[in-house]
Amino acid sequence: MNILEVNNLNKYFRQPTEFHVLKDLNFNVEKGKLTSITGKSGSGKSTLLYLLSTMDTDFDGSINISENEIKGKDNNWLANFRNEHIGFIFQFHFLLPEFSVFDNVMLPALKLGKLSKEEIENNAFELLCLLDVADQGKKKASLLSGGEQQRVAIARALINQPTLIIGDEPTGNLDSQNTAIVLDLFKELCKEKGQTILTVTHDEDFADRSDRIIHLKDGRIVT
Amino acid sequence: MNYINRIKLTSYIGFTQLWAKKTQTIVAIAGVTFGIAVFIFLLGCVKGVNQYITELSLEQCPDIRLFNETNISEDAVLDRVHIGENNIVHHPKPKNILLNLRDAQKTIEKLNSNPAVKAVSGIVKSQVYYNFGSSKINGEITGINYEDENKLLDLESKFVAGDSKALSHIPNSLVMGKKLAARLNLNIGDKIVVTTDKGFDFIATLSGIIKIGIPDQDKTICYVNTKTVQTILSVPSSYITDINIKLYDRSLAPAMAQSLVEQHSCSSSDWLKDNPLLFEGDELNDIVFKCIAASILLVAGFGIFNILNMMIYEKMKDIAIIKALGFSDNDVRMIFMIQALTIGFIGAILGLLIGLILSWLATFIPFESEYFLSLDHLPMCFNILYYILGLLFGLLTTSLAGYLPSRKASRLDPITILRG
Repeated sequence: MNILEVNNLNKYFRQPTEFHVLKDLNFNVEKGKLTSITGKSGSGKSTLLYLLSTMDTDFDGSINISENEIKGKDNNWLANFRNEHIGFIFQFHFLLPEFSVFDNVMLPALKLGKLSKEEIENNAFELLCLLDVADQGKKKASLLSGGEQQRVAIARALINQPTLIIGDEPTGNLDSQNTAIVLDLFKELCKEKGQTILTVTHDEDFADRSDRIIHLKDGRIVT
Repeated sequence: MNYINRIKLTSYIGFTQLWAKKTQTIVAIAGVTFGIAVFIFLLGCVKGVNQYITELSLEQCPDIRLFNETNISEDAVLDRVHIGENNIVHHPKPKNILLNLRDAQKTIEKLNSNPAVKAVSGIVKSQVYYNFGSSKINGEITGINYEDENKLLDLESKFVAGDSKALSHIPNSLVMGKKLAARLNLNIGDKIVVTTDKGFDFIATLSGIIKIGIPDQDKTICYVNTKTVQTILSVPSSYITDINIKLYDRSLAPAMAQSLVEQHSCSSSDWLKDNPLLFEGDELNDIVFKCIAASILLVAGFGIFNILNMMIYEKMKDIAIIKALGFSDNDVRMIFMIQALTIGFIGAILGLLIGLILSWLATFIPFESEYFLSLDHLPMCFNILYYILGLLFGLLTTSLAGYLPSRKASRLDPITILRG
């Protein structure tokens, strides 16, 4: 079953001059697979990720996530959809600095509002344990080291058990040991919970261990 | 997601951000606090003084006055003789009539039994000259029944010298305004020759000096006993020129005056007609005051606008993040509106408190006036209405000032910020 279907996707940057970033992309991603997107800088990886994450809606063609067409939906619908179905891990950790680690992880779940606060707290604690940052839970996010913040950001992306997890170099700030932990966690999520992971990476080991590699070159898929 | 949860969550985010930026928040709150405090203090001052002066003037003025005026008759005799013809009379003059009110005594009795009436006093006024050495000074004496007039205007409390009882007991005794007595160089017990407009002289003794607080009245007022005036005018004891009425509820005066005029065919005036300047001045004051208050709040509002705008600039990345997490545009707007309203509410409440304290302190500022007898400190007004108004103004300006920045935040495109 395909969780993600991309058809004839074209993306242009209009400022400062018109620039064709993504050219006629067509690909599908199966449910429960870990897919890596690779490519040189400027090849359009991040742009593709932002489109797939539904934050950027300015594109031609079609993006279909869990049988929902993204094209033409309004901001409100997209926000709710993102909240429930997509977990996004940024290139830079991007935590809310004034909030505690727990708060940062719990916010998307509180917004979703499907579980009680206690249940959300338990889930957040479990995730932080898995990523080995539970002991920092009460601290303000801004007081953590870069690697710790990155792991908290991963926990935040996973809290709502999204169908699609999108990462923009999620292990970019991590040492090899933590990278291994995250990679194992990702593989486990794919296998056991059937979640789909799509991530941009420069790490060749990471790419090699994923189920599939999509290589971008000058806005086109090269296989 | 239900609405209460949504408000809870957005307020939690809003409060956390406000708490994290304490200095900024305090500055923003202080801006509102200052505006509202000045608003309350100024309003209290201006309104307090206005009310004091109004009360003083109205206390000194009967609610309704009934009197007769010399009027020219509306129809000329010619019209009655040559009916239907085009009669023109140039410069008609009035007849010589007595200025007394008909059946005054009965009217007074009737008014006294009216439950809406607090006090009634029948008085006799006459033009006189005070003989001051070789010169004559123009004036007016008012013949009163001391007990009645005292009930009406509380004369007792206005005496600065002499005996208040003398007026009713000692024949030919006078009570004068302080300034008039000073002008005529009279002390208690001094005698003065008063000449009526009909040329009749009589000698009177100054038995009391009063100070009302309104300079014009203190310069002219001169009370004698009704009987004395009736005697020197050689008119019967039923001769009453004015009836002054004080009501329990002042606002009924115009309507009541109208009906009395119809019943007794005389002229009337009420406190509104007698003090037009006072109320027009009040209105002007109000307008000026509202402008001042509006500009203060505008400045406070602009401060909030600036600070919220600045906060949003600083928080652009955070806004992009929470949007990426699935918070909608409306959630973001709500977060910033909650911040604006929190600043407005806390600022307004503090402002009201500080305004109240300042106003309260101001009542201890000694204020001595030559005119205002009963005034030894600044009169302040503590009307709850102004406090409610202050709170509403505070909330209104902050929500207006918060609206534009919040809308801007809600429209931020997360991609442009996250891409860096």
